[in-house]
Order: sequence, then C-alpha cells, then structure tokens
Amino acid sequence: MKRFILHTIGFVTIVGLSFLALLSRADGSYDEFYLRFTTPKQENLILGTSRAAQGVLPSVLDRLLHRSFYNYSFTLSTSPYGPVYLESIKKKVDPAISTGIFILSVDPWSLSNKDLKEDQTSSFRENDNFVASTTRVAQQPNFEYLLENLNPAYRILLPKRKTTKLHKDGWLEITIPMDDKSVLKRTSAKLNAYRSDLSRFTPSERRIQSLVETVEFLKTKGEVYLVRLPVHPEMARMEQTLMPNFDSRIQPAISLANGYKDLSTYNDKLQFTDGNHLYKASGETVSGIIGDWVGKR
Amino acid sequence: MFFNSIDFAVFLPIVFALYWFVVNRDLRLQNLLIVGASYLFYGWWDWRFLSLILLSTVVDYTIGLRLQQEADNQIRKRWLWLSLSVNLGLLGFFKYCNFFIETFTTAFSFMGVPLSTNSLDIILPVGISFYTFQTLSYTIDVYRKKLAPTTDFIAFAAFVSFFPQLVAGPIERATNLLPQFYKDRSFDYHNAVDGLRQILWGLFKKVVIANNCAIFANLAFNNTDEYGGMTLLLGALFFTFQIYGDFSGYSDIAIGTARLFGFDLKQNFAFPYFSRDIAEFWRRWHISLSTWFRDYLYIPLGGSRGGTGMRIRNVFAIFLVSGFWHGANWTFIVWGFLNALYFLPIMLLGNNRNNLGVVAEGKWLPSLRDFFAILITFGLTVFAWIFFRADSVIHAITYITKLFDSSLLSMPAFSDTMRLLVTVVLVVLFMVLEWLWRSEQFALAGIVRVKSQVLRYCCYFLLAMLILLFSGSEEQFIYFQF
Repeated sequence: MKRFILHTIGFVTIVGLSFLALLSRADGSYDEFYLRFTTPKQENLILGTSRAAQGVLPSVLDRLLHRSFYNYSFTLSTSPYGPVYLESIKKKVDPAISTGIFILSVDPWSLSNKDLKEDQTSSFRENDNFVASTTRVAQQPNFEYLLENLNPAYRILLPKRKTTKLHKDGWLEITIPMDDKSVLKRTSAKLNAYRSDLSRFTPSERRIQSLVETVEFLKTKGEVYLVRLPVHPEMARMEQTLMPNFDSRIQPAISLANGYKDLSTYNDKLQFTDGNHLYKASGETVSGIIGDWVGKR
Repeated sequence: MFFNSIDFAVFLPIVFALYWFVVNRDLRLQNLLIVGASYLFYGWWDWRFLSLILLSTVVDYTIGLRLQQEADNQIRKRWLWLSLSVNLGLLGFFKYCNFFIETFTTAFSFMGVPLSTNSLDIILPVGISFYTFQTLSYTIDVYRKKLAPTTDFIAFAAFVSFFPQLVAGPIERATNLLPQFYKDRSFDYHNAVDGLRQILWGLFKKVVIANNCAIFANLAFNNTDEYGGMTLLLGALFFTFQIYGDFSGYSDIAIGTARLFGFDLKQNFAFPYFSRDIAEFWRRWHISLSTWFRDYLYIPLGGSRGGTGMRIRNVFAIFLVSGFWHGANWTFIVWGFLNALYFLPIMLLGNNRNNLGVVAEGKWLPSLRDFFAILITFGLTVFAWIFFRADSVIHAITYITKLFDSSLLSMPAFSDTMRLLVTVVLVVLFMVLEWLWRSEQFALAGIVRVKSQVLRYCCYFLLAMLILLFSGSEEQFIYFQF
C-alpha cells in the first residue's frame, strides 16, 4: 500500500508540476484576455468593450499624460456595464490610489440587454463568463484563469498567433489585411451581424445604473472621463436607432464624471478594421485626441 | 459527479483512504462506506433521485427474500411481476412517458382524430436504465434459482448503487458482483496499479479522443444543411470514434476504479471496431448489455431455436428493444432495426459464430480478407451510428442524402484546420495502440510487455499530459442520458 501511494503521489506531482510549468508559458499570443489578469493592480485604467480594447492605446496616453495607463477592456459579451464588470474593475484598481485617471468608453450596445432573457441582473449575458469567474485579476501566472478557460490547453504549444497580440499594457493589437476589398468584406459582415441583432438589443436602465455606480466608485479613486469612440457611419446610424437620446440617457453618469467627449464627429475621418473597431493608426490618433483633451482639463 | 471532473479527483482519494485506512477491518463498514459514497456520488447530480435507487433497492431486496421463502410457483411469479412492474414502471415513466404521449397523439392525428395533449415536465434520472437492469438481473436470477437471495441489506444496497458503474455501466450481474460484497477484500498492489492504468486509458479515450471528435461530430450533425458530403462523412466518422471513446472510456474508468477497491467488473468493450462481422461486433460492443438481453430476453423467447420465422422474430425483438433501451426516440429504434437487418443474414446462414477469436492473433497485420471484412463491418456501423446521433429520423435521412451527393469528393469545410489535423492524428494513434494490444482486456494493459520501466512511465506521463492538455472542452458522457 505504501509503495502504491508513494508511486501515485510521485507520478501525480510530476505530471501536475510539468503541466503548471507548461501553463506558465502562456503570453499575449495565447488569447485576447489572459495577460489582463496577470498584471498588478492599476492606478489608471481604460475601460469598455473591444472597441476600447483595440482603439485606445495606453502607450499614447502614457506619453501625453505622463503616467502609466492600463487597458482593462474586454468584449461586448463579457464586459458590458453591469455588476460583473464593476466587481472586476474594483479588484483591478489599486486600493491605495486616489489620484488615478479612468477613461470609460461608452456606447449604446454596452448599456443594452441582448434578448429578453437578460431582463434580470441574475440573467445578464456576462454572468457565466471569465470576467465573472476570474476572482484573482492580478496574479502572474494566473492558473485560475488558465485552468478555467484553456480550451484546449494544447493551444499554448502552438505557434504564436499572427493576427492578434495582447500587449503588456492591455492594448489588443490587430494585424490584418487592410486593403479596400478586405476591409469592405469585413465591414459588410460586421454591419450585417449588428443589423440582424439590432432588434434583439434593448437599452437597459440597470446597466445605465451600473455605469453610474462604476463612475461613483472610480471617482473615489481619481478622475473619471467618459468617451464615445468613433465608429463607421452606418454603425452610428444603428446606434442612433437603438438609443436615439443616448447622451440624455447617460446624463446621470456624465454629470458625475469629470468630463464627457463624444468623438462621433470623427466617424468618417478614420480607418476601421470592420466598421466597429479602429485600426491601429486611427486608434493612435483617437488616443492622442483623448490624451490632449484629458490633459487640458 | 463526472469522472473527468475536479470533484471526482477529490472524491476518489478521500473514499479510497477511508476505505483502506479507516474501515478496512470491518467488511460491513466497508460496504456501508461504499453505499454512502455512492449515494453522495449520485446525489451530486440531483439528490431527489436517490429516492428512486432506494426504492429499487428496498423492493428488490424484499422480493428476493420472498422468492426464496415462497414455494408456490404462481405466487413466486407474482413477486417477479411485481419487481418487473416497479422497476420497468419507473423506467417507463421517467424515460418513455412523453415518447408514448407524443406517439399516440401523432397516431390519432394521422387517423383524423386530433388530440390535444401536453408533454409532462419529467427530468430523466441519470443512469436509470443501468441500475434498473442491474437490479432486475438480481430478481430474475433469484426467481430462476440461479442465485440465493442476500440477507445482507447493506451489501445489496452497495451492489445496486456501486458508484464506479452506477450511472453508465458495465451492467453487472448479481451473480458476479454481489458475492464480491460478502468477501473480505485485501489491497493488492498489482491489481490497484492495473486499475490506475485502466483509469488513465479511460480518461485518454474520453478527454482526448471523444471530446475532440465531439467538436466536429457536433458541427456536422448540428449544421447538416450547411455542409457537403465530405464534411458530413467526416462528421459521421468522428461520431463513430466519439461514441466509442466516450462509452468505452467510461467503462474503463469504472472498471479501473472498482479495482482500486478490490472489485472485479466484467469487460464491457473488446475492440469492437476490429470486428469482422456484425455478430462479432455485438459480442465486443457494450458486452454487459448485449449479454443481458441475450440471457433475459433472447433465450427466453427461444433464441436461435425453432423455425426461421421465430428466429427472425427473436433477432428483431432483441435489437429493437436494445435500440429502445437507449432512448425514447424513433432514431434509436431505426438504429436497432438496421443492426437486426445486418445481423439477420449472418444468423440465417449459420455464420454468426465464425469469428470468435482475436483477429490476426499473433500477427502485425490482418489478412486481406480480414481487412476487408473489418472495413465493411466498420462502414455498416458508421452508417447505423448516423441514426443513433441524429435528432430525428428525418434528420438522419437528410444527413445521408447530403452525404452521398456530389459534394462527397469536395474538401472538408471545418474551419479549425489545426484542431482537425490534431484530432485525426490522435485518432490514428489511438487506433494503432488499440490494434497493437487488441488481445488485452484494454489496450494500455499491453504496456506491461514493455520491459523498460522508464519507457512505461514515459508513456503514462505522455498520456497524462495529453489528458491535461486536452481537458479544456467539457463534454458530458453520452451514455448518461440513457
């Protein structure tokens, strides 16, 4: 019996340690989210969905505002404004800080429910995903995230992805063909997808309330700025249909914040990968505009 | 509690330690621990269904004793019928009630008498088909006087609820398993190591083979309209390996786990995809169910004795009932019917016991004749699995029609090419290992022939790493729904 137990424990230990060693190889090419749960708690954050994840570059803000920003934005299905995202933000913010700067990207989609099944907070779409389930958001390596979300784990061993790279500052860099034909194809597909989903989305008072609560919380940690990022004009029209009085609907959050900037005037002046997300160069431009605006206030 | 879950990884060592270190000196306490652990294991899904197991246990234990006390055959028969009614009644209610309601409604509508009925909101208790058949085997064997009824209620409760094989078999006969609960059990190092080896192999089959194949099988079967022939063919092939890896993997883990506690369960799969005809396939696939039907249905109906008509009737009876056992859907009945059709000519020609041994035993490769026989049997099996996996008979027919259209020669349309390639490589590796060690109880048992201990441990390490590396996608065991 003793021999059996020793052999079994020895084998399980060797396998377990080897597996953990393998997991710790995970980096910014493993997926689009992992690194954000491995960096320390932050003093200055960029928050929102994938628009902000790709379109707001911390490095540009760092340069203009002389402090270190971190992009803690995820996707429309995982980080719309709501209790789950707020809880995760609370964990990511350095508890000691009171002079931070927080830039929140807002848009009608991230303040809306998708389908009627989301009529209760308990049935919000993000409740069962990794933002909700990752309780430790500043741990390197983050085995909790890896073990919950490896699907499958062998992807760690595969060659690094060429199209997406999550930088250490949380910015998600996308490198895809930007010739007219490719952009048109992706834009058409993305706009069609949103168009067909439009009727499923409904503005949510609960989510708007969560945005207010997020601003309230972050105000205790520093300054809060709301921005509405540019999108393709056709996407902007859909957003107008979804929430025609967007600014007045989020007025409670705007009045709490230190400033609100609607960048939709740039909708037809920038380059998008798919009509929804800013391409790198345009993201840099927009980040510069935001940095200048925040710096002057 | 799933075998491939963290819960079970915690549960098993705790029960093992209590079993061998705390209650090891008292057989009754060991049995009691097994009952407690089994009820916890089962209640993990839904504790309310424990009442069904308890009911089955009490009814069959009591009836077993009554059958022994009673000399009058008529009264004995009544007791048997009571046991059959309770067990099959529970099974019928939970598993088949809605099917019969819907079938009657459809039949009446077809005859111009529209009926307005509502389906009942019934949850199917996990593994009900398995433990029902296991307890029935006890009562029938006691009735036939093949087995003396037990007077030890704890041992009987442990036999009914034994957690390794409770929810998906192997369906153990009382004659094999129940006596093991009466005997003192001592720890045997080699038996336990062999058990762990079988658990490792079972996890590999489930987590690496079945779960990966499931991704592509699900894509093909859930989006049949969108894919061409080649993709659907691959989908059917992937399902063929998925169901084998899934179900035989479960059986391996069950048998291996039982060995850790000093129990010996029957082999449930014997390399069925190397069968040379359908009769051989059914001797190698889900052996515990096939033999159950053989002993408790086919032989009582007359078996292969009697005239041709009776033999045909018996073959269809066993395969149709077997299909229906799997689920309340016409797809399973058609699957059973197809297998009966495959089996019938072999039986009528008297060739159903031609291939009893291991194919190409002692050789590296099969003869050409065996190779083609394996290929044809495999092809027939794949075809039948389409009905088994499809949502409805119409879906299966659509699937088959699309499979054989002109797009059969087109490139497969699965988008995740890397994962597709990895899965194909793993399935090939798996089948090569199965072929190499096909004369063993399970493939990995053959590794003991490798003399180098280092090499053996490297193999175990590689398998364990593969299991962990592929553990991301979770799939429930298919046979839990039966």
